[in-house]
Formats: sequence, C-alpha cells, structure tokens
Amino acid sequence: MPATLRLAAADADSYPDSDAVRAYMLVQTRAILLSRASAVVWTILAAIVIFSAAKAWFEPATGYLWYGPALALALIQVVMLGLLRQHATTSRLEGVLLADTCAVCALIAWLGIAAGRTTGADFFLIGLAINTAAIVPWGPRSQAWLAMGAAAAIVGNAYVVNGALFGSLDFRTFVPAVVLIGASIYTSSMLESARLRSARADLLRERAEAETRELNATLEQRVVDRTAELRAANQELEAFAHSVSHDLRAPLRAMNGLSQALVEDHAESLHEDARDYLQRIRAEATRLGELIDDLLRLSRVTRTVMTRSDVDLSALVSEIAERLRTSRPDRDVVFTIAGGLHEHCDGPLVRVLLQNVLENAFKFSQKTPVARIEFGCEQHGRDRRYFVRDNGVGFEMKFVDKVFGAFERLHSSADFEGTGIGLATADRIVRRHGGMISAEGEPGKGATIRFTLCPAREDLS
Amino acid sequence: MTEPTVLLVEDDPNDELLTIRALRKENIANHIVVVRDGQEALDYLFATGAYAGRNLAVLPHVMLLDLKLPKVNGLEVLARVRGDDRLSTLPVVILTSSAMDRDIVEGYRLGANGYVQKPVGADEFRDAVQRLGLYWLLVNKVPASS
Repeated sequence: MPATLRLAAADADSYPDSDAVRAYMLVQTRAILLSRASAVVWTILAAIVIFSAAKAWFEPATGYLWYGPALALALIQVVMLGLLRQHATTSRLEGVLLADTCAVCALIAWLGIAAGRTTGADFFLIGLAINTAAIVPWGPRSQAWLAMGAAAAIVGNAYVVNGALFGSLDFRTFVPAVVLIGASIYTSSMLESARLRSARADLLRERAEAETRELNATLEQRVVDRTAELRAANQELEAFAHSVSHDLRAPLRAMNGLSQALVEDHAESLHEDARDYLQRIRAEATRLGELIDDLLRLSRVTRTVMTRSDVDLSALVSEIAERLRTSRPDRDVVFTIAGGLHEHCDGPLVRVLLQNVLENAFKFSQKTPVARIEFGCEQHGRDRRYFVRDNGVGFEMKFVDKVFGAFERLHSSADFEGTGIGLATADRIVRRHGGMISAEGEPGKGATIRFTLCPAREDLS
Repeated sequence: MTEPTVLLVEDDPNDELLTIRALRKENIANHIVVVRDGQEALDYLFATGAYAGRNLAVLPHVMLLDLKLPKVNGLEVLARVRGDDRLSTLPVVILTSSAMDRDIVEGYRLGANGYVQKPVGADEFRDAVQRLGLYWLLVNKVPASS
C-alpha cells in the first residue's frame, strides 16, 4: 500500500497539526456542498437553455441572437476553469468565500429577475464586481484570469441588457445570466476542488514528510542502538578470544612442560610405558594447542575488516603450492594452475582461503602415489567459479554437509591429522565475500572444492 | 659488576617453574627474582612495600613481563616503568600467552623492547625462554649501574 494511500486512510484527527486538519475538513465539507449546488445549477441551466432553444426555434425572430454572448461567456469560463485547475495553489478558505459570494450574487440576481424588476443581469454585475474585487488581491495568475473572465461577463451582460430587453421580463433573457451564474459557481467550485486537491496533497506530503522524518529518526536511533549492540557483542567476542588465547594455553603449557620435565629429569625412574603415556599426553596437549590457534584464526577471519583490491589468484596459488611442495619434498605432487586469474577480493583473507583449500587437497592426496592438484576457473552463467580439484581420498557425498562444519572431520586423525577447521574457515571467508562454496567428492577418486568470491551477478542488478 | 638479574613477573606457578627451569638448564641466569603480580613488580622496581630499602640504582638486566597479572596488569606496569626516568632504560620483554594484535601494538606503544608469545609446546617454550635469556643477559649490553 503506497504511503499516500495509507495516510489518506488514516484518521485526520490523529495528525498532530490540528489547525491544518480543521481547515482541511472545513474546506472539504464546503467543497462537497458547493459541487452539489453547482450540479443543481447546471441542471437548471441546461433545462432553461433547452427550453429557450425550443422557444427560439418556434419564434425565429427573437431566436439565436441571445445564445452568442451566452455561449461565448460559457466558453471563457471553461477556458478559465482549465487554467484555474492548472494554477490552483495551496488551499485557503478564500476559494470557499469566492464560491459563496457567487452563489449569493446569483440568488440576488435570480430574485431580481423573479420580481420582474430587471433582467437580473445588473444584479449579477454587482456580484461579479464583488467577485473580482475579492479575488484579485489574493493574486495568483489564475485569479487574474478569473478577473478577466468577469470583465468579459460584464461586457456580455451589458450587451444583453442594452440590446433589446431592458426592463422587460422575457424568458430568453435568463439564458446568459443563468449561464454566467452556473458557470461562475461551477468555476468557483472547481477552483475550490483544485485547491482542495492541492491542499490535500500538501497535507499528505506534510504528513508523509513528518512520518518519513519520524521514521528516519527511529531508523537512525535503531542503527545507533544496533551498532552499539554489535560493538558490545564484538567486544565481548574479542574479550572471549583474548581469554581463550591466554587462559586455555597456560594449562596446556604446564601439561606439556611438566611432562617434558618429568621425562627429562626422571627418565631413569620411569618405566617404558610411563614414558609412552607422557609422550601421548604431550602430543594431545600440543594438538589442543593447535585447535585453540585454529579457533582463534577462525574467529579472526570473521572479525577482520574486509578491503577488496585486485588479487592475482594464480600467483597466490603458485606461491602456496611451492611452499606445500617444499614442506614435503618426499611427495610426488603435480600442481596444475590456470594462469592469469584475477579477482577483486580481500587479499589476506583470500590467501587464508586458498591456503586452507590447497592444504586440504594436499593433505588428503598424501596417500595417492602421484597426487594431482588442479586450480582453475569455470564460467558459470555470469559467475566465475574457482575450483581446487585433487585425486586424493575423496569423500562420500552423503557427508557433504559436514565438509564445511567447524570441527567436523570425515577421516580419523590416525589417517589424516588436522583439527577440522580449515574448510570451515574457507567457508567463512567465501561467505564474507558474498560468494558460495561447495564440495564434491567420490571415495577414492578425489574431491573438488568450488567457490565464488563475488555476490551472484543477478543479485547485483 | 653486579650479577645479571632477571626480573620475572609471572603469576602462573607452572610458567614460573618452567621458565626458571629453562633458564637454569642453560646456566644462563643464576639470579632470578620472581614477583607474582603487577603491584609486587612495581614494589620491587620502585623499592617500596616489601622491597623498601632495595638499591634503586641496580636495575635488572631484563624484566620478563606477563600481561595478565593480578592487581596491576602488565601493560600498566610497563606504562609506570616507562613513565619514570630512573627506569626508562630497563629492558622489558613481554612474555605472555596472548597473541592479540591489540596487546602487541599496545605493548610496543608503551615502550616494550620485545614481545614473545609463550609457545604451548614444551620444546618450543624452553627454546624461546632460553633464547631470550641468552640474548638479553649475554648478548645485549645495558648501561652500567651507577
């Protein structure tokens, strides 16, 4: 529902600016009455014109002569009407006053005619004079046009009055006068309705503006509140990470260090088994330490500020591949890296992403005699999908949901070391870029990780 | 020449034990003063409280400062040390579990001479402490005590 309709439907009394509302209600009520009166007058006018036309038909000698000025005046009023509608300005009560004046003048004229004293036209002239005097000081261009119309009416009436019918009471003399009365009232009521529309538009706009202002203020407040909340949450997270980083490490260090001290200082009094147990304790403590480090890295990935720039992905992958190769010179790994791949993304984060994905491929292909790891890009619709494919152990597709979960592992740590955070980190980095990441695998055949680093183009348009 | 002294500010008894053990193993430091919170560290350095009467002019060769300490935290201790002319030349190395960028930046900003994160691994920890000791007590030169 558009805002204006919603506003129009709302109770005007609830609007805080009650003066404007009262004026608006008054104008509206009067305008309705006026337009009804105007319709009545026009109906009477039409009846008279038809009657007069019939009379003229049967009495050609006095016939069409009177319709010239009457129709000309009506035409002028209609033209004025158009102009008035165009130029109508904000509502005040003068429109109503104007229409009321016209109506009173018309009534007086009508009574004068009925009493047989005049054609009524002279009375109507007085009415028009008042009309003109009343509107000109308010001054918009449209009202000047109305004044010109009034002048034309004076000339027309003078012609009628001085022409043939001064002093007599002929039915046909009603025609121009009534046309003028009707047209004047109609004009006034149209003027009023134009003003009314304009007033209502103003009022609605004001209310819409007020509502927008209020909404903006609320929104701003909400943004401020939300930002404060987020900042607090972030601080809490930071404090938590700090505490994890500090407090969880200390006991681990003690376990590690004291086990080592025990082995070193009391080796001779320890049984072989005891030394093995101590070794296991140290290994586990070390693993827990790595887990903490990975967790902290994961949380840092979520918190760091992102800045996109042009990143040479091919060069980055080559660099990581080189490092992986030198870390295990005993392994036979063939890297196939597509050249010239650039992306507008966050360099440090994407480095972590590629590192994790490639390390994963490297790790899970360690039991393949000749490991093949491929990095490339597929154009998929308007998206560039990067992929890292390996011919390692792969995984069953029914476990695909677990691939990107933190601490989820598809292989036992006896087979493959690791904490299960690498791909969860990759997933977060891709999501922070607005991209998508997916995995595909087959046991014994290998796995492919695909990701995009931009929001889908369709979403952008 | 006074015997090289290490001032170890450490509240964790295990870390204290392991640090001292690592330093002793290599015969790097025979004289290690251990204080267990920030206030005690300040008392030692400014010769107040329990350390009233200590010769202020004799500075440790290095202070190994933990950050998370009871009473007065490590960064506050550092700020107080650097705010005093008598202690401005004291080498301070932060030795802490925290690897938060914020702590590292703040540590250097306040005038730390080094920042070492305590490794979790036993070998790594011992290695780090021994290297620190070797460097600050044997390699590094400090102003002669007056």
